[in-house]
Amino acid sequence: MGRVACLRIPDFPIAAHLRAESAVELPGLLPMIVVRGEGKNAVVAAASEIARSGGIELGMRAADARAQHPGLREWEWSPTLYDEVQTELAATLLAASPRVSRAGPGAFWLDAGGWDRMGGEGAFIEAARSAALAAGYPEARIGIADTAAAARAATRLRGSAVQQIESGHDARFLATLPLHVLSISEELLELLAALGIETVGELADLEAGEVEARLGAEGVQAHRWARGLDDGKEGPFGGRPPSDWSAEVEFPGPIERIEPLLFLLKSCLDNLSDALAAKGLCLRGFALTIETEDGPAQQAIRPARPTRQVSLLLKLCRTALEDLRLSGRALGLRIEAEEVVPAVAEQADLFEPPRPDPDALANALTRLQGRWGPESVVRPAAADSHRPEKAGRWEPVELMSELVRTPASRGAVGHGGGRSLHVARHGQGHRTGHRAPNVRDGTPVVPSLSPQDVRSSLASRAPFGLVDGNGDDSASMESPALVLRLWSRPQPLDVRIEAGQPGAVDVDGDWRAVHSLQGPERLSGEWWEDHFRREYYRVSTTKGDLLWVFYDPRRRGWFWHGWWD
Amino acid sequence: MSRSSAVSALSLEQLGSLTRASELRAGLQALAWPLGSPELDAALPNGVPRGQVTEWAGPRSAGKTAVLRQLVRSVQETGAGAAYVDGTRTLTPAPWVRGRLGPGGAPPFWVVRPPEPAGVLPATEELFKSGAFGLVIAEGADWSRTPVIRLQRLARETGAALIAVVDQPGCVPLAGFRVQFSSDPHSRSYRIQIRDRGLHREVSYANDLPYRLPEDSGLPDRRVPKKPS
Repeated sequence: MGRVACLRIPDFPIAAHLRAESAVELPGLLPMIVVRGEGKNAVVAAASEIARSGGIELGMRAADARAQHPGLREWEWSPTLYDEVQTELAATLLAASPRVSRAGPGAFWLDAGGWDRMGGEGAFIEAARSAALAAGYPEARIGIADTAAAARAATRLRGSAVQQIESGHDARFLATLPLHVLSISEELLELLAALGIETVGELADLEAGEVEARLGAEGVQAHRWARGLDDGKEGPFGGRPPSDWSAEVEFPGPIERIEPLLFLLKSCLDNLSDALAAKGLCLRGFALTIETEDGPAQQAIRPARPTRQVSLLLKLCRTALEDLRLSGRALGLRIEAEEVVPAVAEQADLFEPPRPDPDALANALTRLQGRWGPESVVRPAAADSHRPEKAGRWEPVELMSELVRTPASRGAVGHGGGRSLHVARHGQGHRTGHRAPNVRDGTPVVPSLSPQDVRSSLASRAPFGLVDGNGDDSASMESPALVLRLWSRPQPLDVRIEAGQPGAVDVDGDWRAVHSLQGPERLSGEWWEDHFRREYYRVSTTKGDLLWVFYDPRRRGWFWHGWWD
Repeated sequence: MSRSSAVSALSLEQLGSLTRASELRAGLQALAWPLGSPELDAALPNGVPRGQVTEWAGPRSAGKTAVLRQLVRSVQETGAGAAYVDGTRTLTPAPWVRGRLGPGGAPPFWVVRPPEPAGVLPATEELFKSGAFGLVIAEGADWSRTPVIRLQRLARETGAALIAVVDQPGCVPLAGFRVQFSSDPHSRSYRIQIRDRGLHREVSYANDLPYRLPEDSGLPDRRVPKKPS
């Protein structure tokens, strides 16, 4: 387990002003205050220990404080100064720890791990104190513990400049301390006091479910701290930038084959996955870098959904390695997270139909999109365009949007959407000379016939082949709406004109006579972008094809755009 | 029925180990996907069988896609996902856009469009392996015995239905059911024949052209009739 250190400068605003003036006084030896506000509204924002012992309280009017201590030394509140001082001190503390981050005014988190071979934690404490002393803060307090909450609490205790809490004893250390050593709000402190809870240990003894029900999220967090549990939000790793989530390995010798490389890659992924799991995080994207004899080769990898599943990550890396052309033998590899996100779980619903497993969807999507690109796995979405081939669009599937269960877009089937082919819009296009067509579900609709109509219709015609091998086992059904299918680009079509209109069409090298014809339906528009003018016909051939063809007067040719099926 | 009454209506035995109520309702009928048409569901045993390969054959404009769309909707209504591997890349999005289905929206409907028809079978296999789809439709593939056996095994393992869409009947070896579509332009009627190991059923329905337009559009036709050569 990593060790966390907290370094705090007591009465930091006063210490900062003294440091800025290069004064030699210690904040505890003289009555000193920092005042926030102007004139009558000025209040005491910070006070030295001796001032507090003389009756000055934080938040009292500055005029009252001055009346109590006529020789009181005071400064104005200066956030800029405090920021500069804290930045300067953080830079100095880097001599003691490679990872330093702010933990509030005058306090810092330090990574206290990794000193085992350099003298242990004692050496770390010495280094940290020396750094603080060099920066001009001899009164700095240091607490070291397993959890950030315990380390911070240790710096809030008077009397000892260093508190080193033995590993595994955070809860025991905290148990006897008053509640205010934890960073919890005044409201929660008052509430706990009203419940008769005064020490951290008493809070830790409460049942977790009760705490959640009665004290809410802040109570749960405080309860975890009290029990010596780290929530990962604070400490030197709490604000860790995503790029810091990395793992690397240097090979003992140059590698030429992929198998040993994958073996070492797996161990890297295992390490990274464990580190992410400890913080409840998942990878959303990462970079795989292979160091070769001729330089590094890098490939960005983005799983379909955030994951830390090693098997899936390894599959992705394997696919990436197959695409990666290495110019020389591999010498090492590095995995660096580009984005990490908290792991989230989805709540299922007992009364909702079961949904596909998100991990299964992620696997399929990752493999397919990894093979042919994001445009290869799509889902339909409504679009508003006068041009037939743009009436609807394929959207690349994004797994997260599938999982959040957003309903399909408005304007979809059954909501008045679908093809806008039949909607005249000023400035977009126009159609001429036709009555409003019957449209349903985004496709031209077969006129609905009642079952009686169908039966009578079938009865009036000679039924074709209704008899099967087992006897009379035939039925009639309500007709489903035919679905339009389109070529990705309209194909040039040979059309034989007879009596001024198409009489036969050449389909797949076979001339087929036109059985019936409907049209022309003239469509034009998009003059500002890619002007089109088309005269559409619905052509039914004697062989049963139901084609959609158009004549383009600008190109003076016939085109086969699609068919109904 | 309210949630509480629905729960009370189920015995503990029925609930089993935290089985979802919707699964209980589905029961054994989930062994086949209903087509959404009583006539077709009667002709096929309760619909398109799961865990099997079904051949979906017929020429262009025979109505194959129309029934497939109906089937996809029916599958989605049960909460299962559906996928269409379109090796021909002729599927258009608008007819497949789905409105809201239940409180959680529509289950996934993915269309996989491999750049080459050769990618249809690998994509279908990948979808089956994920186990996330109850229905996979594959069109544009060159069906041979080996991949069909593999896909059939995957379909059986995952309980999903595979529909192999082809132009000519008999192109898909080992298909459990063979559904053949045809149309007659003269009577504008459509016919669906279902064959299953000698059993032969048939469903017919009438259709018309999508919509009619007046013969005279009101504008002169600019094209000159082709002169006889």
